[in-house]
Amino acid sequence: MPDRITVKVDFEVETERGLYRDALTIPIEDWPWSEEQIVAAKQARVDNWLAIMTTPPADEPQDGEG
Amino acid sequence: MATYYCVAAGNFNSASTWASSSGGAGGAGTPGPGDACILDGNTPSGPTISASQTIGSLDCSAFTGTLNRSNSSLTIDTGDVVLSSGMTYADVNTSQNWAFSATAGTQTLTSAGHTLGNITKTNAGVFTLGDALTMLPNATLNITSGTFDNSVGNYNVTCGIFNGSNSNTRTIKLGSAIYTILMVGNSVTSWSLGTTTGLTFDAGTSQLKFRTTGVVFQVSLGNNNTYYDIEFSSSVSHGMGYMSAMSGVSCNQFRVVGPFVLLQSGNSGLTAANFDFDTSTGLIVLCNRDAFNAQRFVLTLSGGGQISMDKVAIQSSRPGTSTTFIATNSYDLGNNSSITITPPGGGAPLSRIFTGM
Repeated sequence: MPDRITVKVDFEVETERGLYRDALTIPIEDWPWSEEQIVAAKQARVDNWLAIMTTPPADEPQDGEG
Repeated sequence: MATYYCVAAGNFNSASTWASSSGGAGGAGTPGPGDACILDGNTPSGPTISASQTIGSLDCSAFTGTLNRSNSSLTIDTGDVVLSSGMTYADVNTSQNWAFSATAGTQTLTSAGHTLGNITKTNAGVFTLGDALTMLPNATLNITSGTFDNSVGNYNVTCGIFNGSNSNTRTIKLGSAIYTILMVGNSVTSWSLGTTTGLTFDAGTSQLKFRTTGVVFQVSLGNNNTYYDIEFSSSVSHGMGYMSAMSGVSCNQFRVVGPFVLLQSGNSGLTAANFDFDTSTGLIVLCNRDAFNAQRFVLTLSGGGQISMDKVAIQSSRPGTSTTFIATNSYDLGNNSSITITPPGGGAPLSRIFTGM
């Protein structure tokens, strides 16, 4: 693969479900991101993970079902 | 080893979709094994991974359109896969597979927050992550051979099934990440390391969070494997799972969050430095899945001491070496030994405690 330059922002956020570790990968041509952009992108990742961890499925089985 | 730039909203296996330069003329041919494929700012929205195909690498880091996926396996045989947060990855399901098949070197998957279908690691190379991995809740992360190493980035992993059970030479290094295993399929083995032949397993200081959506699931831990933290919980008002292949299994902390029914299959128990049975939100039931005539749920504190539980129901269980076991406000479901079980005051029916009424 030809060399393509990206900026990688590793981050971790402590949540009520434990430590969330992730990274943002940003093409150099889009860099720099503002602090607000980075914070929003991080928060979106965390929110998505917490939604998976905390949201019951829509079709929760009833008692007596699998 | 050629480089192909995607310049049309066509199928990946169509020659007209690819050019030899960014924004160039299509018709450069169909990329194959070892070839670098690039989707960038000159790529229109809408190309499709339409059929099973092998390429060398896929770089979408500067792509902001939609990459469609139809049911197929895309095999990456040498390099990395990089998706971008600005793109859309569409029509994802578990009939789709990302196969990382390098025979040497390291391949990195950067999914950029997109939810993926199945992933398979084959051959002897190393597969690692460039960021957190989220897969569909019924998708499988399948380590067939080679190495899965998450001990550098230690990124969170969320999937439906983690399968490393086979007899090939393989290494699994979990690092310090949180692995959330979402059980959505009835009777599915959501964690599968039952066959440990050829396996080098390093749990690091990882946390495995088995979270059922109400179905019955199996966790096959693999005899003699050492884990760090293991947790069972449910996203609904009830959860049930059973553990198997756990002879000689040990961990740092073993935690169950009620309401939860935890069954054990097999003749051995579990050794942990700490047991945490959290019944603040519902009762926990510990019992043996297979038979009523043996104390199979053997819990051992690795440093010796006392395991204390409150609001549990217990069957076919006993403490292990140098361990005492008490359960208050709890029910003896029979066939236990060496456990001090004190029933709840007032004789509240089990059903009331289990449902929190």
